[in-house]
Amino acid sequence: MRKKRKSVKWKRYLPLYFMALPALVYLFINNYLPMTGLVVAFKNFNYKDGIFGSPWCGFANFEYLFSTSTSFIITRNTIVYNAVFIILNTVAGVAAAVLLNEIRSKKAVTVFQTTMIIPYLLSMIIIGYLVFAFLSSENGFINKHVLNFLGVELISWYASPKVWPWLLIFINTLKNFGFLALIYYSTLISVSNEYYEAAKLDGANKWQQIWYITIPYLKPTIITMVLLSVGRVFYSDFGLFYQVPQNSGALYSVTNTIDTYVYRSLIQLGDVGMASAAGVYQSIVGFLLVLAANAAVRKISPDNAMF
Amino acid sequence: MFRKRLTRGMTAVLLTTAILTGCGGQGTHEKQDDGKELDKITFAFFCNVVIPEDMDKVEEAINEITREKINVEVELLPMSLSTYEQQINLMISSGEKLDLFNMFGTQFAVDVTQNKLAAMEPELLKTVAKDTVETIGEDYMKSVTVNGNVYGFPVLKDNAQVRGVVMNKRMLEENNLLEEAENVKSTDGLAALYDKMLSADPDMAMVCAGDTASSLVDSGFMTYDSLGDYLGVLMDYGQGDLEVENLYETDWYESTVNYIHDWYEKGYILKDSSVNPDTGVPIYQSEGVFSILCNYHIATDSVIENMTNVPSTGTWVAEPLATTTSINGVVMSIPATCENQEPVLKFLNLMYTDKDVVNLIDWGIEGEHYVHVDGKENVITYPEGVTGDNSGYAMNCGWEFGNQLNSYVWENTGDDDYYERMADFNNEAIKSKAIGFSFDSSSVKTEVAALNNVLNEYRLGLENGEMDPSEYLPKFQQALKEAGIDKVIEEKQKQLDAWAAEQ
Repeated sequence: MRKKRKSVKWKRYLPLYFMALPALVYLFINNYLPMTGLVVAFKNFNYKDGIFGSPWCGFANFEYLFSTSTSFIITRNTIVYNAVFIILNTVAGVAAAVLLNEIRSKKAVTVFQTTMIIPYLLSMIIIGYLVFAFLSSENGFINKHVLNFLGVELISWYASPKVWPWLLIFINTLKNFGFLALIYYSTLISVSNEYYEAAKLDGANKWQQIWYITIPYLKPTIITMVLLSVGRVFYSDFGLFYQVPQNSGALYSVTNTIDTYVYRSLIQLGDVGMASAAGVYQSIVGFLLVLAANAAVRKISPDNAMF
Repeated sequence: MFRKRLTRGMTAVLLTTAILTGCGGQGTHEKQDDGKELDKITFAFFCNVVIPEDMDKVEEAINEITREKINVEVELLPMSLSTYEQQINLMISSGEKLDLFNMFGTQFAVDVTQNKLAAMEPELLKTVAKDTVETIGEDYMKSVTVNGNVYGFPVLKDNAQVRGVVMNKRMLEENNLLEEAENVKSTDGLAALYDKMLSADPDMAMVCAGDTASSLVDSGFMTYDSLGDYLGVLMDYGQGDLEVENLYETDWYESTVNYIHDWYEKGYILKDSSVNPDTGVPIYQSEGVFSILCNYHIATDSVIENMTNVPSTGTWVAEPLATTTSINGVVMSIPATCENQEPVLKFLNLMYTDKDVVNLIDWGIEGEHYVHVDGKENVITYPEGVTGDNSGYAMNCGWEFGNQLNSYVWENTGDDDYYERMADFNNEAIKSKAIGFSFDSSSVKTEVAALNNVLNEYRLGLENGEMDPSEYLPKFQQALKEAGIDKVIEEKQKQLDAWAAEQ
């Protein structure tokens, strides 16, 4: 009896599965098949024997990630920056989306949206040049015009590690909040106006409307976006940490992350195994973090957990 | 009339089919008209920026010669430099057809240890490539020989290097210092010149390194054989008794970075030159700096003048030196996946001995892409109406193909005897005693990876004068120790001793 029902169900969903087929095949080819390549991380790779024929070497490829005191700095930088980025981007994104939602003029919304999304579309290399135009010692805008004008002593920006955490956080927020705001705003558009009208009738002010209607509506989207970024906590935006500080050695204590460390270590060495080892390390930690974060969400609010 | 068109149409169809079957790569042999079997090889190399439009024409012209002389057909596979290495790695690891490729010598040692390259068959080296081996010469062949196997041919070009300076001629003339500048022989002489220039124009930056990746020490002061990776070097032009030293602990290094820091304090050195993305030729071109220190050969000033349109003069500030690294500037190698080496070596042999082949690939087709300058045998220029912007083959990559010393010289770079002088320059350079030694870092790669990070952190800052040596040099030395430089040096010394015993 039960079996029969199951097969009926299966038949009913067949067209849906069929529709999903191309995407599933794509996912398999693009995301699952390459995972077999993970074995490279545990091999002493050479081109003659290929990926599967090269000799095993245990965890030797992982050693360089943990061998010096730099390991602590890169792990700390990667995690702390990402944590700050996740919080700030979410707050700024939600705030911008809520504000957009309050604007009634269609034209104004389009203008604001476009302005906010432009930084997201800029390449980090271009941003690096822009930052250099502001901060270069001799011809930078800040030193040449602002500090000179104020009569303050000039600052050698690319040799001042203290400024860069703030700078990087600022640049990252400026670059990314617009995109998030767009996603949140698209969720808000679907909220029926009736809720707000009803709330108004009950005497709710603007703050209360936002707090009790808008934010609860956004909650599932916020949780999904945060969970997605938690999975990438062990990765860093290479452009932001390498191109924007112009690879300045004096700033490594605050700009060196796992990705830039791996790049600098292996650019000469060209070792496929060691590069994969870093990738394996990052993705496994990221995977575990997503599981943990999801478990936490399930505990607090089971409806919003992803799985 | 109609018939003629029909025949033409038919030929076109037939040709297309022929090309398509060729691309299918069904086999490496193809019958020529007279029934002889034609060997097909694929040759990959890098292009500076864009791949020239007329590559097909040049390929066909080269094939006309190779079909005739060695019964080989070459497929040229130019690739953009930015993704070159990844593409080559993919081609080799996936077994795609590739029989010959160019690489920068900095990759050579690593590629040998990763089995990426095929050892050239000794029998073929004695027969079909005999002339090439002779042309390259015993000394230079050593630098591509590892454990008795030959893994490639170094491109013959400026195979020695000397530290030199390129200066803005206009600024020198304005200050009546041209004569003094041309007589500068050392970095001290350079400092005196900078001093005078600076008193005339206190706001002008005097000097920066030749590119973003190198420092002033690399480009103006280096008198050691870096043995490839700077981790353990031979001091004093590699003339001592093969003792691998930690460069960063030597007195020479300490006094040099102090000397450079002194330059920095005096305002000679361009501010932010370690982080400025335009350090080197771009800034020199916009006249933002008076001079650049760089790798020099006999006419680097003319090369830079042609590149930037800034009237330039230059001079050496050290002695020319040949090392494994300088000889292996670019290496032409056969990948491990190549099935038949014979046609490849035959083609390589033409690249090193046949003037027509090397000029075709360097400069294109005579009359179309270049013409001889009146009254000169070896000097060439653009044909009338052709410029660097509209030429179909302005690749300008002669330094990566076979025997550049056999090729023509572009106008304004040098005269008829340019490459003779280049050969003399190579021959007269001091030869490091470790020519031919390449370090296999695979047993200490964990340390090398960590050390590369340390080098990145301190090297440019110290060697461009921005970091104060009294504060940062001890930190640098400490970080290198922690990352395991002693272990790498010990391993290198061991390999060097073993190599020396073999010689």
